Amino acid sequence: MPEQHDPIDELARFGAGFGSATPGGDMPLSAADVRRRGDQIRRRRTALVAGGAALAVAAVAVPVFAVIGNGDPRSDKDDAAVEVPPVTATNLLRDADTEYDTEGYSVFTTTDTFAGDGQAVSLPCQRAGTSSLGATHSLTRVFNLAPDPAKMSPGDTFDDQTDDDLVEMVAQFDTPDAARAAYDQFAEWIVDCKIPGANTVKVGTQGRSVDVAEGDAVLYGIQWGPAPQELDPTGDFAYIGEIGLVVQDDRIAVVSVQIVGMDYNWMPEDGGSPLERMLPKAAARLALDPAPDQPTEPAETVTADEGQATGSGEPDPGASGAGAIPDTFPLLDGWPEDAGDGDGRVGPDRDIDPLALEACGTAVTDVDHADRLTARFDNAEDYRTRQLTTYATADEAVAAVAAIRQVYAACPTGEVRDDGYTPHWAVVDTQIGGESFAVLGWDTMGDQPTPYGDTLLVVRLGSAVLVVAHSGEGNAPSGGEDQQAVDRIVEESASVVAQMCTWTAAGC
Amino acid sequence: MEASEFDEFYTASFRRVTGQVYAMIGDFEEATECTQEAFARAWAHRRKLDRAEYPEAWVRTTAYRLAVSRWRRRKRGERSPDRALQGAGSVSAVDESHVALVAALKQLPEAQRQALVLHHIADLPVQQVAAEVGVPEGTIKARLSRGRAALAELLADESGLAGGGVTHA
Repeated sequence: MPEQHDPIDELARFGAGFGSATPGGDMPLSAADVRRRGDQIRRRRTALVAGGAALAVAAVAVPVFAVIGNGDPRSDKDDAAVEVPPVTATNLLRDADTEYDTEGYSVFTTTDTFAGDGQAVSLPCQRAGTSSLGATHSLTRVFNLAPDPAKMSPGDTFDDQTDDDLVEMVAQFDTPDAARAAYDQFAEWIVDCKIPGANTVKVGTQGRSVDVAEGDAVLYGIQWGPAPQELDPTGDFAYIGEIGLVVQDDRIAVVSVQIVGMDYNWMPEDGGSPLERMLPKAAARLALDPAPDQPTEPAETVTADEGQATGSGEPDPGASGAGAIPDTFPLLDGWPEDAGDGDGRVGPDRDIDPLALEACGTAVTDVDHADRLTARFDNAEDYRTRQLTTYATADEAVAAVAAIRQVYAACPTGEVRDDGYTPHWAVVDTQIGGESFAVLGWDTMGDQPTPYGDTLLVVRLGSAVLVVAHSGEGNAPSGGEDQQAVDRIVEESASVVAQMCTWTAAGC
Repeated sequence: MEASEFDEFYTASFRRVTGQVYAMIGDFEEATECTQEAFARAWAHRRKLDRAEYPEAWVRTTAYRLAVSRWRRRKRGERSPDRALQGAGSVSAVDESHVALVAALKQLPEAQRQALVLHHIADLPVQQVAAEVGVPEGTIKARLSRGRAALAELLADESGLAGGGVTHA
């Protein structure tokens, strides 16, 4: 008869053993080494907002084409119009939108996002680039399917990368007719699918309609082979998957899922196939305005700050008529004088690296400006930056502010970073200056909240824009509705904003 | 938290947290590395840690999440294939007497294993386990009850197969 063990005793002995000095071996790193590693982590996080290194990310082109004002000195941003690409990453599925098995054991993760047709067609059955079909803009995102490590049991082994992919392409056309023609062309290519190197291609030629909120959507099952021998030495596998098409006014989306395997069976009670579940989401994202906060048409208005009438693109340089920032501008006002554990006050200086503002891999374009002065305050876990930029016209300042807002508003949730944290952003309006908003940035680990994040305040007054960045442990907002974090920065920045009256039409 | 305070915290808690994470994930080397990284992050965010009611719980939770995170998966992928031949460095082999218990724990569902480790190894009251895991106390009690029964059975099987059971110091 097996010996009986009281599991509680076993567990208690285990705990007591690891509480003593000897079991578990020596600590791999000394406490000092761990602190050094921690300092590296802190510096890297700080660089997320305070760094000036060039970012290897795509920049949004924001031509200066803006009209400002509606007579309300606090709300002229509502009438700002900025020309942006007609389809952006906003219109693509995000990792969080994707679905595969209903239990979530496998997840799609973005591996690439690019504009235009690229070097080769990205979708099965596609025979030519979308530009040849008349698309004025297109954007493609590639995802890879792999097991979710959070759902794996300890000790399980699995591949980081698989040969199973999801590809989505969205394209903009000049007219709804052109979009419909492209949609039909893709359907013809699929029904008569030819895949280079394939011995057999089978397509469910009777497409299945999928209900979407706007436009039409159809789905085709597809299978071809052979699969590569290294994946399928016995010849039992094939490429299996489905391709979905969506047409909506003057846009289309084409989405494909392909796996290497023996079956691709999905039960209706589980919501159907992955694309049956994802295509409505793809349609919903396709319908989004890439700059949802901005109207698309300019209008004749008045400048906001002082109610002075101007026309579209009219300069509003302020009383001095100059964009130069005096060296004595009080950019340090309100910050502590005690350096604490850091460098304390730094600047104001024109040589300090500009703030690197980016979200979802999209950097805010730093448009031409008249002058820029930056100051910093560094203490342990307390990093503050104020960047004052002046522009030749108020319109250009409006465009600069709109570009910042657009990047963060279009990215409520970013990709999981290398350190395992997922960044989130929320844009909230504030009541300071002629036009202002705050960007609350906070991190989560999986679905758990963390204490990390950053806060931005963006204020325009006349043709000047102040960006205030706070990071470090004491400055992270708690989620997307932390009014206290915003109020703190607004209050601290008030005296600086007041001095920006120099760049309004009426002056100070 | 000053450097000297952190050093004391690290020295006093490192082995304990490593043992708890080891019991939860079943891989001692992983547990060691993740605990070390969690302490580094604790130092990086020490002001928040100052305000944490239970700093050790913060480190334990972070280490556990790291162990199952994408970051960890990537780090594992970066290891050289012949790493196993390079020796264990300063990480000593775990006490043999713990191996059977950890092997049995690994066979339990994750939720039961986590509850057992936090309550019986980390010695946390049920209320604190519930807070750390983020579920009601009743759920923790049920997981503990089921986990204990399952673990007893697994350990009995283990001792029968081994012909003498697990020995303890």
